Amino acid sequence: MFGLSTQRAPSPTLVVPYFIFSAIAFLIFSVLLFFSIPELSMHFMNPKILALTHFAALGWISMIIMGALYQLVPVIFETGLYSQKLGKFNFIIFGTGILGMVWSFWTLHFKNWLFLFGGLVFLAFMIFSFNIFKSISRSAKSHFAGKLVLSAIFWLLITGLLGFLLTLNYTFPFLKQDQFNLLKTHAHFGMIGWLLFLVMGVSSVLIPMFLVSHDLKEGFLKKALYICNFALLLISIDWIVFAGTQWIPVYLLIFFFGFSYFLRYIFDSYRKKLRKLDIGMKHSMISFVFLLIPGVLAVFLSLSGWKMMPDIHQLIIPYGMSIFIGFFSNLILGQMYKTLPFILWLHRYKHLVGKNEIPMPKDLYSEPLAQWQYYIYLLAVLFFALGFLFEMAFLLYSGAALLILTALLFNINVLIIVLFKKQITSIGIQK
Amino acid sequence: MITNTQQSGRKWSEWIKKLIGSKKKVAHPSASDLRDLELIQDNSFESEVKGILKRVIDPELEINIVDLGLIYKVEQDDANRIFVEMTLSTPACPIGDVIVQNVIDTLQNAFPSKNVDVSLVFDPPWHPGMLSEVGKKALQGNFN
Repeated sequence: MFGLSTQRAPSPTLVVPYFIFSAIAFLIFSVLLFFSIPELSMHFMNPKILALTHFAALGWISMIIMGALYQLVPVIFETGLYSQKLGKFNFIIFGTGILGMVWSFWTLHFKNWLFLFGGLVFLAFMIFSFNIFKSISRSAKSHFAGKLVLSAIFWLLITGLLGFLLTLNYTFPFLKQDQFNLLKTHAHFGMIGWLLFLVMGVSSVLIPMFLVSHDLKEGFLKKALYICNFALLLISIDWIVFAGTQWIPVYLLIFFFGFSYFLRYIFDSYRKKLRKLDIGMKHSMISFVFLLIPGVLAVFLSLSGWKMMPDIHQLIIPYGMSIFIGFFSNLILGQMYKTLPFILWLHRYKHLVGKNEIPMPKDLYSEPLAQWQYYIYLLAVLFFALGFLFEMAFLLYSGAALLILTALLFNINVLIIVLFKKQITSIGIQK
Repeated sequence: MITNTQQSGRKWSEWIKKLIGSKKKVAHPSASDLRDLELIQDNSFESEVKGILKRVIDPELEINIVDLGLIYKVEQDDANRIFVEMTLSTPACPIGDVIVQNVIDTLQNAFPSKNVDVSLVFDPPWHPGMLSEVGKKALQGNFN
């Protein structure tokens, strides 16, 4: 048999709602960010920043990643999804949890509501992890990307658990550790353990596939997986048990060493590419270059435990924004053009392939709008960077306004893809 | 008579169309266009089949499977059977079965009296050296 790749693909009714929720969440996040510019110069533990961070991390980034993973697991692991119904149920739980959690943060309902919605989000993490784990464990195919995906799921559960304990602690105080250290650990479990490791796993398959590059060294991925996981474990133990020692920069160095192997894999894929970068890949590839910003900021922040260093807490918000807006958003803004059109194309035109003149996945969205989105996004990042560098609110407002415009163009294209319909004419294949 | 309001309305709609980029092309044209350009000019059955298979396009790469180098072998036997051995650019190809079915349908349409048998193999695995010159140019977006 020829493989059942498309039969294994889940229904768009499972995947597309995740994409739509995420796109709308990105737009709302951008608008909320615009109205929270004064908070960007405050301490990051303020309610609006916590609300925005969770809206970006969960509503925008995790939501679309979960939807994409439901589509990609059957492709990468050559197995059907364990349960599509569970995936749909999970969407409702996760969506409700996110909206409630962001509302609780924004409106200062820390004591009575936060743990309830936090519990829903944690439940959604468990359902999602169970579904993906059961799907992957049915696969006869052993793919190294699977190990990265499984390690990401492990960290997702740990992130959810720690986050839930923190929300519970607001209502029934029981945690003895310093909240600041626990929050830092929770954030890095989520950003690095869950999101970054998942991106590493998925992009190690997708990027070479989209760029048509071959003969890549899987050994680089292995080193990246083990070293990065080891470093994250060291950092989190240090923060939780020893409340942050002077060894943090050393662990960070170990992490950079491991991550450099993944970057070499991606660079190798780029160097050996046979295909010109389209708009989706341009967005995605530049996101890896932008990782330099949080990398440099992380070095400064890791040194803050050293006595001779001045207080550099004001770098935490730019550090977080460079990860969420500079890297993850950038990557997703591009990868949406490589995934959503294909998912809907498959559903609408698969049965017409070879029988009729049909559009290609690329025809499902507006390329000029995507180009505008790309350049406006780059400008937004530039304005944010300059705004933080020169501490000028006007530049930060401009960056946020440009991010709203980026989100608008992105949403229009998502709408165009979802609503795309073309008259199909028969071509009648003749000898 | 066209009023100023109508004219400015038309200008706006043209501007929006330009911005969004209205697409007149429905299907990728390269399938039939490429067929005559790259086809080996001999009369063998293999060339004929490969010429026909240039109608089968990889929807992500938008290149036909012959120029991609996915067709390894074409044979026919006395029992009216066409045998095609082919591969995919990656074993993780998300539409592998659609491409293979398209090969069967295309050949079945072209040769209604024959049975078509397609075998999908990954040994040897596909590598960039299997691309035709036309395929290489098309991937780089240099094909006119």
